[in-house]
Amino acid sequence: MGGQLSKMMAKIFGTKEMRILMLGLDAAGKTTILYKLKLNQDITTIPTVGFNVETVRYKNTKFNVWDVGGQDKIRPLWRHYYTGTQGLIFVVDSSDRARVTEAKLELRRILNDPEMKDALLLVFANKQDIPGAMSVQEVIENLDLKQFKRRTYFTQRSCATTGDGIFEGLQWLSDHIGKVGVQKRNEEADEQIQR
Amino acid sequence: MWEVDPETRSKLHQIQKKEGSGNDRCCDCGAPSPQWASPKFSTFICLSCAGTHRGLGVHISFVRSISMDAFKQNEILRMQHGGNKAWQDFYNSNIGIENGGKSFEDSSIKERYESDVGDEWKERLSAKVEDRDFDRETWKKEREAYKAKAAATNAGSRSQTPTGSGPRKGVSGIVSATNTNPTGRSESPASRSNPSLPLSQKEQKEAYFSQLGAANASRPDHLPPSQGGRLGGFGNSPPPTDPSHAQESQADPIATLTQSLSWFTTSLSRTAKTVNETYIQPTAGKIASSDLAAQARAAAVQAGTGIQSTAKTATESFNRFVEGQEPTARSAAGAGAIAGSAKKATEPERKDFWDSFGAAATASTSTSAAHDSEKPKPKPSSIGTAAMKTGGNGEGLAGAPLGSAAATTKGKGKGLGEDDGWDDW
Repeated sequence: MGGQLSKMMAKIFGTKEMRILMLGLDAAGKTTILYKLKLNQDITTIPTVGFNVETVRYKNTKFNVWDVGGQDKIRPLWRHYYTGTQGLIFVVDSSDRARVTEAKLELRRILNDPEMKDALLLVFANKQDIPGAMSVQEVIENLDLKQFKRRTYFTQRSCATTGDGIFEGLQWLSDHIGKVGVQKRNEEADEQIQR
Repeated sequence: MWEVDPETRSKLHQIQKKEGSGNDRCCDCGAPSPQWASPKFSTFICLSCAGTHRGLGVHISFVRSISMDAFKQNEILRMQHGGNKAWQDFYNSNIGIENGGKSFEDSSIKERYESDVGDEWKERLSAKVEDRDFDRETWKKEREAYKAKAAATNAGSRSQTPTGSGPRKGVSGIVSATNTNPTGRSESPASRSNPSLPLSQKEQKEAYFSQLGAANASRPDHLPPSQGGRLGGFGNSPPPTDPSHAQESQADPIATLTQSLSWFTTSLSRTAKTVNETYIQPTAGKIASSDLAAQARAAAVQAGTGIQSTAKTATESFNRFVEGQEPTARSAAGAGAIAGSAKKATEPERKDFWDSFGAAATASTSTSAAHDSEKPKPKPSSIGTAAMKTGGNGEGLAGAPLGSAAATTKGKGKGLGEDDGWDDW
């Protein structure tokens, strides 16, 4: 009932809230995307040791974006951020053909976690400005995305430094949130926390 | 998964401590104890220079953390064979047209690592690690061929390509020079740089991203983005299946209840519609074509009268029987009616609807059959139902009109018994 009511409120006031986890191999462009969204600036980032979190408002959706560092040895820490995640943004460096298999294995590990079972998957095929970057089709094939048949996913070409494609990705997330029944679950979780 | 050297840490530590290697300071800015490395160049760098290196792309410099990344065997070997000092010396000994005649100290990180000198250094290191001789001439030839090929692929499209921060710099340049740039790309920076339009940051951002989207939508779809093509996407949305639905049911029982209630209502109205379309309307048509209905009504009235008369006769005959008179020889219908009416006669006070139901049905069926033998076989039963209502002495169900109507119409339309008429509900 509470879920229905808040859904109605959301419809009246037109705001949605979404918890987004942004993961990917190191140097894929996660932090650059985050600050492009937040500040609309192409900042020179430093490797993320730990995490960054920012609230980004886009149209009628409030995205709480968590960006966690992707170095080899801190990847096992990713799972601590899974709880309550409604959307996973997986960032791939499209020019890094040598490590795309590694990316595939990491993505599979994330999605196999029960806590990520209902999360939407948005893949950014990033760094499209670099000549010779993989196309969306290549990224989909290399990541073997077709194996996730029950998953709602979208692969978006992007260039974080200019902001190209990021808009489309967020739009997709905003359009598909609530269609997976995740929102309700989270509200319940929140209610439990409040109690 | 990927070969990890178990002694990575200690090996790297040793390499960093090597005398005269310059590895104890950041190769690019001189900061002490660098914690990051670029195995491609065999250099140790600090955190902030690592950020700049990563911005160059993995094809130029691939950055690893000494403490948080696993090094491959090959990468460790590279680290051993080079060093900060060796790379700086090599760069400075090759000052020429390629690197703009500037020394290592005067160049930016981008200039140092994207230069041809950098490429040669990487190739030399690879040769050293693989234990082969470095042939500069062959390398140069191969490199020229590769460059020519890359240039051919990207020819004519670089101007549209969103490379790094280049286009944005270009755009702001255009804006300051002239405000009449027709392309969509200059829209947002223009409004941002215009002081007469004090937009909030959010509005600016939305305007910026929407114009990016518009610009992207107008690009050709068949080209790769590095050649000015659209940055498209591809996705998957599986249809909602039962397991997830079941989960939802568990999560929100009230919603499910509401849902199923609405489903029930929908199916109910659908059934009513079906009944109306399939049975009532054709029947109405039939009524118009023939006066079957009139016949049926007449039959019903007859049946009702029949019951009453049969009951009367039965009572009379029973009385006669009780009084000792000879029972009159009767038809099977009469006998059935006797059985039913006998009870009615003996317990007139306690009789209820269901008692009369069986009797009336039997009686009516037989009587109507007797009265109207030329009618098709299944019809009497349905008419009998109607007759029961009519002949039931006003004891019918409260909701009877609807039910009897359905049963009657169904019986007429399909020539089936009343059971089917009820089953649909």
